[in-house]
Amino acid sequence: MHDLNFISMRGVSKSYRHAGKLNPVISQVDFQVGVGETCAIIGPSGAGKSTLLNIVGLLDVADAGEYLFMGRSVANAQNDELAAIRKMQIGFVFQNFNLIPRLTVIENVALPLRYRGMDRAHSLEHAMCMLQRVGMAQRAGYKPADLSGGQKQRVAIARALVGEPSLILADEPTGSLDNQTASEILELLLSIQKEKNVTLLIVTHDQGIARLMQRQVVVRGGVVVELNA
Amino acid sequence: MSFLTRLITPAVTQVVEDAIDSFRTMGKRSVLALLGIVIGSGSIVAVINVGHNTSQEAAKIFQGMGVDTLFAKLNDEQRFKDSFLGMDAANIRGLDLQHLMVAPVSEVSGKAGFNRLYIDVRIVGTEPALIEVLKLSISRGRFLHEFDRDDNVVVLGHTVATSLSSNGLGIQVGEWLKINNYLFKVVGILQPAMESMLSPVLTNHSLFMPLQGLARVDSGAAITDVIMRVGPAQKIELVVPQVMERLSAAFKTRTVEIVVAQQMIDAMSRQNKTFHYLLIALGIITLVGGGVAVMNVMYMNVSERRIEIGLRMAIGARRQDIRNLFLVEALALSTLGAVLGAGVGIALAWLYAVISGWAFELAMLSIPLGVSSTLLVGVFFGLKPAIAASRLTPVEALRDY
Ligand SMILES: Nc1ncnc2c1ncn2[C@@H]1O[C@H](COP(=O)(O)OP(=O)(O)O)[C@@H](O)[C@H]1O
Ligand SMILES: [Mg+2]
Repeated sequence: MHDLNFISMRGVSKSYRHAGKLNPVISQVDFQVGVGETCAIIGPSGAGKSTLLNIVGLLDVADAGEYLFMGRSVANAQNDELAAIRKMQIGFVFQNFNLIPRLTVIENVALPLRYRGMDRAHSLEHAMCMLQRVGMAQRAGYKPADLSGGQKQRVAIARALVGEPSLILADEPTGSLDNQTASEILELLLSIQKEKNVTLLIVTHDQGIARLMQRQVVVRGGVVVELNA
Repeated sequence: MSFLTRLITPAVTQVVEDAIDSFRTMGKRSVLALLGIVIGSGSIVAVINVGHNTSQEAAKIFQGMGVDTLFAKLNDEQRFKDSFLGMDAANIRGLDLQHLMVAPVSEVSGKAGFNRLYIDVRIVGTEPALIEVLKLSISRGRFLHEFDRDDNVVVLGHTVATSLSSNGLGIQVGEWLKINNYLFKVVGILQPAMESMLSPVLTNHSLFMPLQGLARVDSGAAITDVIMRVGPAQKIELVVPQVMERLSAAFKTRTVEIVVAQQMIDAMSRQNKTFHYLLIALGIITLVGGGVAVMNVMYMNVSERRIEIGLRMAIGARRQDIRNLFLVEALALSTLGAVLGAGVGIALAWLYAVISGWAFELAMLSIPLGVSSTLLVGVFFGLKPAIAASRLTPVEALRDY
């Protein structure tokens, strides 16, 4: 169905050192996602879902195994190269929104463009378009503290998408929201995903949300297992 | 992987805007750090300015006597027992010090009476050249002349003239003054003169007469001082040895001591300098204290904004971008401190000048010196927290504990 794997992991392992002891979190993981695919990552708390997503998003590096991002190995990439890939290709959505409290809504959204070297005026213009898309244009000048949870996540989605990344990684994006708001946010994410044909990985506890994705994988006992309908 | 890793740097304006943004909200903690910086940088600027104005003032004091003036004292163990004025004066005239203006001085105290008013005065026997040598200005009449040599004439210092006028009858040129039972004709009155610390003559409190006149008033008088002035093109240091040699030869029974205004000015400014260095050292210590405060504020700032650091890393900030973010903030803090400090320092120095009754003059170097040392301190102490921030991994930074 997909002629190119957007990401491809083989035998990926990651351990964390805790109290002098190595605790394996994921081991020998094989995991592929195609271009434009949507995939839910589910599993019990502490199973390693976030760890997997962080490795996918190049925020963390695997201890062992092979990881191809857009067909290229990132095993030996330098910090700056990883940062550049994140900057150009990946948008993150977090459970806690992670908006910068000092900045206004529109400045938060414009920030990724600023790191791409875009001037302030143009970045704000683009940010405004994105805020319109997520229905937050009216709140452009607000500070994050003056928004509800759902509104914050809309802004965060705008920030993740403003740079037109090819991959969206969302770690429990509705974990802090009520059901009604959660489904609105998910609807928004999916509609933008379809529109731009971006690849979407979403970590969630919510079976209903997981079912909205084309694929569902379970992280359990350190490995990733495909759930087939 | 060039298509993935186009290394695009964030806009420079973004770096600065970020700093100002966070600076706006750093709050009370940064006020404390700022205070340290302001006090430190302010005291450096103040010290430099106070120092500058002190030496300006000192220079003014000495300017009265001129840096081109030489004071030679002729000391005599025998209390001038074997000296008498006429011989001394002839000795000095025979010195053959061309290109120098030379005025011998013999000074005694005495009483001057006018209109039944008697006051204590210093009676100075000298030669006409003294007006040039001490740059005296005449208010009325004239100074001594060569042709006065055998006449009983006198020129009054300003305070003497004022005191003698205090019973209502203002003393005038042409009146007669009684000095030790001799009558002297007043031929001139001097303008108020700036008294110099080095000169043996207290101009305002003295009256001036020819050496022969003084010999009449006090037969025991001897020449105690010789005041000399070099021409504008001459170096005073080069003249001193010659003067020393000639005077010692001419006055074999005396010890000659030469004081040059420039030496005193140098000694004084050397003393001033040590004092300034001490104060500048104090300023630097305060500034370093401010720097440590900046470092603490920045560390707190970094730990408070850990998630923000992670977020910025997630959206593509490189380590150096994070480092610069905090470094520029530390710099913004120190720049503000430096600017306020310069203002405070100048204000303090100005106040000091006003209280001392001086005219304030800004020391041009104080501002670049104060500002640059402050910025240096800011960078130095801001660097460690900034590097600590940049060394966080994205996962560490983003983790919610
Ligand atoms: N930086 C870390 N240091 C030590 N242990 C960690 C770290 N990150 C995650 N872990 C551990 O790894 C395990 C998996 O964590 P995580 O991937 O966050 O789980 P999930 O997202 O599925 O709840 C947990 O036991 C967690 O305590
Ligand atoms: Mg998690």
